[in-house]
Amino acid sequence: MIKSNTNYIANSFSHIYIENSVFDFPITQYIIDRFPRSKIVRIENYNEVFSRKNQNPYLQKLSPSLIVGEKKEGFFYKGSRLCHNFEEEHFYYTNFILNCLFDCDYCYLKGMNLSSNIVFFVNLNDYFNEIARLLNTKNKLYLSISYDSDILIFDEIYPFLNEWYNFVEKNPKITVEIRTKSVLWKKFIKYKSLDNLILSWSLAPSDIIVQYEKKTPSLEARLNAISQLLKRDWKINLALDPLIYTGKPWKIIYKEFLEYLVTKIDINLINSITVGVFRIPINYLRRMKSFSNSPISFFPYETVEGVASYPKDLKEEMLNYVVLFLERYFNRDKIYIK
Amino acid sequence: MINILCALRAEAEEIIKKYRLKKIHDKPFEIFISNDVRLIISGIGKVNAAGATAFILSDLDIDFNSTDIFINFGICGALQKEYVVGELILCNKVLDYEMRKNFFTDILIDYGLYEASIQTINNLDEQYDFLEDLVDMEASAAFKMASKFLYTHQIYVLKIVSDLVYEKSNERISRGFVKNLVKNKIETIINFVDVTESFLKNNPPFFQREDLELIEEVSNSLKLTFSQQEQLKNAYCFYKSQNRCEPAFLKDYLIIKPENSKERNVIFDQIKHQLYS
Repeated sequence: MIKSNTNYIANSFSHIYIENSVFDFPITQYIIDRFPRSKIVRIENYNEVFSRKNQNPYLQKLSPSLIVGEKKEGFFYKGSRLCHNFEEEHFYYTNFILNCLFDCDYCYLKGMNLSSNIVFFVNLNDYFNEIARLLNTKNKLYLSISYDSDILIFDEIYPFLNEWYNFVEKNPKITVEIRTKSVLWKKFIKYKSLDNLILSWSLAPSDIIVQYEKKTPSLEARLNAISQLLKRDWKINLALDPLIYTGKPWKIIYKEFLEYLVTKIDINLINSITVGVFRIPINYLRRMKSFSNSPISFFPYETVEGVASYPKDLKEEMLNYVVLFLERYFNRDKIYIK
Repeated sequence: MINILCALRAEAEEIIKKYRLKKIHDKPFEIFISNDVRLIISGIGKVNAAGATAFILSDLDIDFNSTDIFINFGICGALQKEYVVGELILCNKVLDYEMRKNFFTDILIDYGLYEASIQTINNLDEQYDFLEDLVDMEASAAFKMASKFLYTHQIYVLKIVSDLVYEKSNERISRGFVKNLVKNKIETIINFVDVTESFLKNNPPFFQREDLELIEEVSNSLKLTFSQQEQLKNAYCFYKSQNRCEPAFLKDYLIIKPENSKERNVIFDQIKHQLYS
């Protein structure tokens, strides 16, 4: 038993729930060792904790727990129609980590998951085996590995990056994309850049970061991280997605942002840019509304084919504005719009 | 409201005394109350615990229960050697032994308490496996029933170790012994309740009862349709989230009585425009 001292909000990962089947995995023990003060609770299946119906994910964000489990099926999925597919025929995503420590008001995870607790699936070799089997049936595969979490911030406690790097290096038919808002560029210094490993940075105007992307690094820090890796020949994508409507001053906010962006990084070295306005399945939005205190959840969106987004005219105006700006500096063929 | 369930009167007496609770019910369960604390005595076993939990929580307003707490408090046996008699323990996992189903509290506060898992069994006299750290006869049923009324961060199982089952001692536990165990930990129990209550009060939900009441008043006054009322609620929340305050101007509409649906629709559009701008 561990007795703690203070009487207030518990630290993140004060409780670690571990599936019995992975308890003795070396990686599980490594994770436990990172949190010597945490309470360890053994469970049968991660869903016992993660998918309980009566959770309050907004309060859980104050002190998320960690769940360590084993993925038994569904090691990869076809990319959602709401995602950019970079015109890739075989576009998939995988999720060996669920949920995120950042707290973005617009994040679809808040509508998709019943919990804000973080899940690590630690049987990475099963993922690699299943993806290798899929690779045998395809000439080419584009795989995003960080749609359901900003995974890089977890690499210190669940070291997956080296494993993925080695897998990607050995499998030239696969292109892996890691999307992030983090500034952990130093992690990549020890690696040689790979043509089939793309790092994708989500960027937004500072006003939006401050108001709607709580706990995330500043725009300046993100741009610095990008610059550092561009210098080292890494393939970098930019995701100006989601564009957020902030009322009448939105054009000024985005103009300042885009001007700052092109002065801070050499945009011609960027591999591609994705642009998209906020969009979310309507059932996710409904769930977000039950706990949210953000205007993003309550904007009067239009719903088309089950997807809520800005009214058509506004959406087109926002996309055109941003794309027209980017076109002045960047090859239009490498700008993907959603 | 703090809702406490004890199986035995001896477990409850110190709490009744400390909170100066008054008895208001004798049947089907003994119930003691003050302004913000209620205590129910369920009797031993899962069926009694589930029944008493439903009984005490049945009048909660499920839509606005953010400061309500449910605690199953009582004595338990220790199944593992590291637990000693008299220790107060917050249960972080509750196993229903017969159903093989687990329940988990979301522990968001650092209480500084010992934590352990507990298994709830039907019958102490029958042989059973020691799957968890502690054993009792109510927790899983109370937890399961409370889950129908409250979120997982509002349901707690707090136990004091009264006997060491791993030593196979069959010594009967006296009422005085139980009362004394609770008396020794009463300040910690009260502190647990205070900290939890304070945490919940400091983290209120965005949408409050007063918000709903105002929306309903305006809707009734203007004779809004169901769909309009839903739209009004969304627009209201947009305004409140954007401005961090309630739209006080809505009260001005309480004195307006539209003559017909056309007039109502014009007024409604005007309200929406104000709320979204």
